[in-house]
Amino acid sequence: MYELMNATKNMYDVLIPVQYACLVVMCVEGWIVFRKSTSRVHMCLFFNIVVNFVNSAGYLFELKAHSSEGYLTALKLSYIGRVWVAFSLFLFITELCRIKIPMPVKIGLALFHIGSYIAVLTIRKNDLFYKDIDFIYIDGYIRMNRSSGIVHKLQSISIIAYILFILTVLLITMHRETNKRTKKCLITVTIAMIVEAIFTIIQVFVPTPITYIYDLTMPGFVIGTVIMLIAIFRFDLLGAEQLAKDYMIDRLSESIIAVDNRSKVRYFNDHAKELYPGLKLSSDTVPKEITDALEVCGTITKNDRIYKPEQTELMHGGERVGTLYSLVDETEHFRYMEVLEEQKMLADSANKAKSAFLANMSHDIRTPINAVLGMNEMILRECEDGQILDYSGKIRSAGNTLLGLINDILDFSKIEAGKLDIIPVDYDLMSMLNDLVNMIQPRADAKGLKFTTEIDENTPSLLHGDEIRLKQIITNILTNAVKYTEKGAVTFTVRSEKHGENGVILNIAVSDTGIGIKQEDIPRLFSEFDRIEEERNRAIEGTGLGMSITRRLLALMNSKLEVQSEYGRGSVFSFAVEQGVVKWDPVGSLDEALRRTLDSRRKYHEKFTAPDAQILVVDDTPMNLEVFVSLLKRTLIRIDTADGCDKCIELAVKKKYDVIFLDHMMPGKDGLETLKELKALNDSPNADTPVICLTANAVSGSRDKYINAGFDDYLSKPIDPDRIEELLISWLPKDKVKTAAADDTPDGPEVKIPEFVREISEIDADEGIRHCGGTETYMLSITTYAGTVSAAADEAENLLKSGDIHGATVKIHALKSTSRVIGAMELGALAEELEAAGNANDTEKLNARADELFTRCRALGEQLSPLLKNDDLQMISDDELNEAYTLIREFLSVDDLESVMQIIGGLDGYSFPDSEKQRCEALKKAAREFDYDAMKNIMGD
Amino acid sequence: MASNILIISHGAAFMTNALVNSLHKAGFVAGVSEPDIKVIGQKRKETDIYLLYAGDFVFDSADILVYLKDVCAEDEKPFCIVGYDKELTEIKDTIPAKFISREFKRPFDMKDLTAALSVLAEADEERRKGRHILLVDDDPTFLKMMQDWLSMKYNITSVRSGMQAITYIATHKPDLILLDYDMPITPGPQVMEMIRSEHNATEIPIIFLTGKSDKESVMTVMALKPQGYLLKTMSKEEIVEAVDHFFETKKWKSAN
Repeated sequence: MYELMNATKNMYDVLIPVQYACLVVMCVEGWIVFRKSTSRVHMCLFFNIVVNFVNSAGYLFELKAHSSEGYLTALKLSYIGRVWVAFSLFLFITELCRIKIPMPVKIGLALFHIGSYIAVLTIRKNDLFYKDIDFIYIDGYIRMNRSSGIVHKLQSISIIAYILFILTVLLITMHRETNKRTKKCLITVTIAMIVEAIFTIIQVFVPTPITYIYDLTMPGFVIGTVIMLIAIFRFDLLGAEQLAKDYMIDRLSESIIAVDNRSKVRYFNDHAKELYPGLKLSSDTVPKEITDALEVCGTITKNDRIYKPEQTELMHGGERVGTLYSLVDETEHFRYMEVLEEQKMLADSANKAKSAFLANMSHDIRTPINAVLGMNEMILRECEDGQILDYSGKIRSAGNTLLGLINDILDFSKIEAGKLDIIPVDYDLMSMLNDLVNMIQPRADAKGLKFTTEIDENTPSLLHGDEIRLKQIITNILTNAVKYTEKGAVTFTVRSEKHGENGVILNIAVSDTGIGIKQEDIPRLFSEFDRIEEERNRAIEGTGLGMSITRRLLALMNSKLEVQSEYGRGSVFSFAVEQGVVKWDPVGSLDEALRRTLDSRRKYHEKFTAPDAQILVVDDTPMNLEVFVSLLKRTLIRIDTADGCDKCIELAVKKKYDVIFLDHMMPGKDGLETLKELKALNDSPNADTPVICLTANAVSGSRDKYINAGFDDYLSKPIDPDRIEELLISWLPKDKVKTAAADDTPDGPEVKIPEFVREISEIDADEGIRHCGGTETYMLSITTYAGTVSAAADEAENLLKSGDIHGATVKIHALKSTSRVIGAMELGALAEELEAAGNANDTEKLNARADELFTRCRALGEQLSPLLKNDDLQMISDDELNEAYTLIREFLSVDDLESVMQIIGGLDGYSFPDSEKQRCEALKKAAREFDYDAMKNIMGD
Repeated sequence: MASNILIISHGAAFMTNALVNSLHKAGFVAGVSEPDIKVIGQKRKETDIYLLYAGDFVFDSADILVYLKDVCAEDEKPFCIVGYDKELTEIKDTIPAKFISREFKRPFDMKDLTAALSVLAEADEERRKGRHILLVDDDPTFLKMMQDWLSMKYNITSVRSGMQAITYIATHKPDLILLDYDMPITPGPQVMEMIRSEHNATEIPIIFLTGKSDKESVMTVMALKPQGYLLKTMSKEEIVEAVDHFFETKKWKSAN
């Protein structure tokens, strides 16, 4: 026992310092873990260290206790920690191995340990924890003998259980873990656990003198925790969550710099360090570069990358604690923007090229169309073959459609290029509406549709606006209405309301009973080239651009197209547009206006000739020159042509022209240059000659361009025959322009009416000439009459005899017209009476007087028969011929040359007996040549 | 004072045509009638002058002749007769000379007859007398054209050469000569000279016809002092107007 006590004393001398050492180590451990702890694993370890520290500290007091009271107090202190040691390890390992322990279990265990501690506190009062307590004093050191109570035994079992559980978990986790580092860590932790386990086992199961005195678990646990520390910090044990956070902060491309309220740097990540190597904590402020860039909202370029600085306030608990600066790498973004910019420029230039192409094509396309339509016009004017006229009419119609399509496309590209302007002018509303009605009515009629107009009669008549475009819009809407309506009606409505001092709002609507449009299709109405129900409407021709152009034009006029439609029932298209008012006089009824404008148009387009006028036309395309000359053929204007600037100048210096037409687009020197050269000439006879520009490029603004360039007017191609005549009437000297008289024929001298025709009492030749508008026509008419009236009368007679009243009346109607035409007025009146009788089925009257009509008609035909071809010429009687000869001789003898000519002229209507044919022909020939001597000779023999 | 002339004739279509034409130009309204009392009776009211163009029929138409005589006496209208010697004698047998205002023996010059009738009609000399124009041009086409244009209003005689013109002027006196400037053999100016040298033709106005409108040529033409010049390129209306204008504004004296 003495040795044991001596040994004990010596051992205490060693053990106490060891215990101090343990405490110190644990302190250091605790500090390290505390400092570096970032996760729950660390927390658990820290908890473990803390409870171990408390445990060790308490044990130290136990060792140094001098009284039982002191000892028990120390014991209780130490158990504050000891009850939790195994539990904390349990928590640590489960955290480490990511094993989820349900909360209730944890709470249950915790309660158990708390219960244990309560048992410790009441050590002397009961036997739960310790029993048979017995104190031994050895050399100042005190020792307590005890045997385990139930709770103590339970506690011990729990410790073993924990250890076993922990080891199992570790082994399983190790087996599952693939990551090498983690594996190493786990191995190390397992070693630590094993060490602790060994120490515990020794303490509990192996009685040695040391264990009797000294609880080996103390140092054991210390060693264990040290190993665990090494494991964690060597293998950098971080959870995925933590890694993610760290990764986010450190590895993202954003450079982050956090500063405090005094702008001192508190944190920066790796990227920031890369960009700003000189960055140091607490010493610097945020780099000036960044704050500067933020001020101007600019970017920072470093190492070929572009960064955009951002600034965020760091708030905590409602207070500002600092500012976070980040630099976002926008390099990709900027590069992308650059690429987009490039692409956009390419697209723009492609678009411009396309517009330029179209503008050029405008001229190139219109020129051949001009030629086709112009030449076709000539065919229509000069041809008499019905079949060819039919073909030609179809060509005209198709050609105009083609022109319409091309104009649509060109208009569309003009609008797209923003080149189409609204040009307001004064215009007559009624005239425009008239044109529209005249254009649509036949189309509606052709489809069997009813077309009605409702025009508010109070609408002002003279308005100020862009007539052409407004007309284009309404035309488009009306033609669509007709196009898409198979049966029923199309109604065109115009209402007006006063708007301000000088304005009016026109409300225009077109409604139809057509196929209608589905609600969902209405937005598609306005998309270019998109035609609704393409399949169903495939048969309807057009480019599909009309609606789009209409919509844009309306937009340019500050208006909008409204559409109301019921699929299968019909649609209403309407819009309201503001127009200035020039005259407030109401338009009145449309029919009246129709008549009025027709009259003024008729006057206006009376045929005019200007045979003394001399004009010059300059165009590089021979076809265009031909068309030009042809269109003006009937005006008799003398036209000189030139194929270019040089020829033009050459001609202009030699001859004075009344008007000069210059084509605008020519190779080499164009119209503008030619004009300049013309104006620059000194002493040119054409110094004051009006110059008119011919252009295929009727884009907006070009009229002003031409006027400003020095032209007096302009004419767009293809040339409208009426328009060019208008222009000529205004620009030619007034005294050279003649409007045709009724009986004028442009070619050659007046046709002479044979005298015998004038003598026929049945005919009033003058009346007939008036009817025919000229002597030439009159001659043709009476010749035809002479050849056909007998047959016509026969036919009528036969029809009447066979009882076909209707047929006979039709024939009598014809007789009436033809008789009137040649001036047989009485005959015509008679025929009219009989026609009326026939229509009224008055067979009595018909039969009473029809014979008279037929007889007189036939007689007239007989009298006119000399007009028929030479073979049918009336044979001259001998008496007449003799009289003629006598007179000719007589007049020759007195040199009454005029009368001689007259007599010979009178021989025209006859044919001659063979014996005299030669002489008469000779006479006629001499007369043609005014050869009086020859006549004398002929008559002399 | 409109003058209506009734031409009584039978079977003389050519002549009556010529007569009607000529009278028309002189400003008369001429009508034609068969030698039939009834027909004549119908037209009696409006007739101012009776012109009997004799033919074979006069030898059997005593009744007509008498009737005509009565009418003229009663209405106090001039009565003229045209025909051959024999015919005229026959008529004068039935109708005393004092009832006959004028007689014209065939062959006769239309213009003379027209002129005489005009005098009878007591019409204004200036206005009523049919104007007589002589056209001189070597181109028959142009002649025909001018004749067509002008023959409605005026009496036109057309000749193709300067020589013919001179010959014609010897026996006639036109009111105006339209003379082509460029003619072969005897060009215009030469003809003009010759005309002027004829002492009874010095006063006939001459208007040149020329194809050249440039300043120099016109100056040359005018240097000869014609009464004017016309361009051949002028239209029908212009030429007619120019001639009308000439007659309206110029004072001239006629031979008759």
